[in-house]
Amino acid sequence: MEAITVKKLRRVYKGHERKEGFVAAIKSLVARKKVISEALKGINFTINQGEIVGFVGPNGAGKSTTIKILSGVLYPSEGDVRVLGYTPWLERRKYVKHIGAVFGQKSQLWWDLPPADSFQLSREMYAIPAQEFEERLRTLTNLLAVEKVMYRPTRELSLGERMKCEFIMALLHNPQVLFLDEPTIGVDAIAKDEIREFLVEVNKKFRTTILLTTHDMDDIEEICERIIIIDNGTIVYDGNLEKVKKKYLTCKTVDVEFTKIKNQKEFATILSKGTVLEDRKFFKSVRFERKDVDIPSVLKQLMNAADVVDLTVHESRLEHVIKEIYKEKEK
Amino acid sequence: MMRHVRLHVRHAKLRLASRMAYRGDLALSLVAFFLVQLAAPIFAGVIYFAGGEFPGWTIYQVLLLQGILSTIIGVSYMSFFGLLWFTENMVREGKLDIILMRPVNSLWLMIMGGFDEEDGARIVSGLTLIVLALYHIDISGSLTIAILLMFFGILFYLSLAVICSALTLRFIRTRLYEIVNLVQMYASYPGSIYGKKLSIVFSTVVPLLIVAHYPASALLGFAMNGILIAIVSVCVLVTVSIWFWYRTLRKYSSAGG
Repeated sequence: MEAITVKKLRRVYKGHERKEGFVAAIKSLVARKKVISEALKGINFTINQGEIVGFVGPNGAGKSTTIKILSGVLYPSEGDVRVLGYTPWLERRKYVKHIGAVFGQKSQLWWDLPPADSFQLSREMYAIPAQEFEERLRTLTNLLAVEKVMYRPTRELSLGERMKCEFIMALLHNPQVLFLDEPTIGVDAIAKDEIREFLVEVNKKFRTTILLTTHDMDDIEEICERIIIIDNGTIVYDGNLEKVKKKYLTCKTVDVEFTKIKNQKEFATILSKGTVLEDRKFFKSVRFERKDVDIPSVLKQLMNAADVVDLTVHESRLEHVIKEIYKEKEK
Repeated sequence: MMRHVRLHVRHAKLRLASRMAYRGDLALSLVAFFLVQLAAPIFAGVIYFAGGEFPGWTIYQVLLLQGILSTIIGVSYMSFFGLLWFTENMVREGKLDIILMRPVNSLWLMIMGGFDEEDGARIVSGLTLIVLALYHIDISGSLTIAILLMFFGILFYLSLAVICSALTLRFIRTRLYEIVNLVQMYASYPGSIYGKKLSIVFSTVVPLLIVAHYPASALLGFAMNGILIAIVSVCVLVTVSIWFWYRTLRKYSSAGG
């Protein structure tokens, strides 16, 4: 069943621009140059109930505009959007009862009060029955291990603890769709892992549809099975994450640390098959194209040619995939 | 509607609880607001005792009028007038998006956000003035009508706050609220000092006489020429301001993300 359907969605922003300096500022009082920018150029996609989809793209690509239209905050210029059967901007008050959102840079908690107080306000806003509220709060606080934290003023919490409470705030009313905009920005590695595990758990337990916007590709790799890549207002890829990685991850990087080179000629020959990324006396980092070499045999040859202390193979990161897709689109 | 009122009360309690985290500042602010609100009556006293006149009004009747004005301003500023600054902050920080994602009337939520407990001190200074004035004068009018007219005075302030908030949504920053200070200044004195033409303007186009002049007149049993037009004018202003606010919200483009 489709949770989100987006058809030919366009959004145009009308603004003004002026040159730098005081004189230009004065001139702009009389005559301003109008600028029309097309943030979304007729995008289409659908997301099924219970899916977790990563929505990625560079700054200014149209991610936030899409999320804001989907959440009913902005009116589109053209196009049709249905989320859970609602047109978000037309039926906003009825519709928003069924969605939740976490914005990494916009807190929903009261700064000087414990999150528990903010949760109570949320209960009142969404008219959540007392018993249902208590049960859900218990489940969510257990999952995120913030039972004690939620009674301390928000200003005293670490960013990780605060973000966990933001998630609780967004999920207390049991939304069917959750929009996440940079939810792990600035959060330490341990808290990030806990949040990712929590999101997977919430998705499994409540079948919550999640649309995640982030620049942290680890978030995407660990949570999402599907990604939508947007660039300059158009969708450049929409599909399975593994498939896209296989298609675009054409190289692997080998890091080798050694104490002595036993066979200088053989060692040099191996290195020449790839691109040396880092070159120190007892350490080399080399990228090999998978179509040109067989990685296991490269590793064997390296072991023979030098007294190897450490050998590591890295897959290229998702960032690399996305860059490749952008490059392909530019061509 | 009851849910909205409950929500407003809970929000106000949270706001008070939050403010109590800074007790010293809260106490100082309350005292400052109390004293500032007494400035206009002191000025009126200075004018009166220096030989100035308020045609048809004694100094204690003027004090009653200013007490009513302070009370109305106190109620308005405490309950909703912070909407102006709240709107500016929300738009600048992009947090209006969060408000729009709540299943409650957005304007109501914004009004809730404008609650400011410190302005409660203005109500105290207003009531003090009313009690002080009533000690020296007899009431020959109707208390019920006076209270009803005070309610319309609050509605007038509400319409001003909503219009300024809408303009802030549109332009992000506006100093239009300075006009509100002008309203307070003109509303501080009996309508009789403004002459016929200006009095007509102040009871029709800008019905500021409803804020203090008419409620005080109702209490003192004075004639209230143009009162019905002023009430209709306030109702129209409130309706138009709410319509204008939602109209402006449609054009809201949010902060860049």
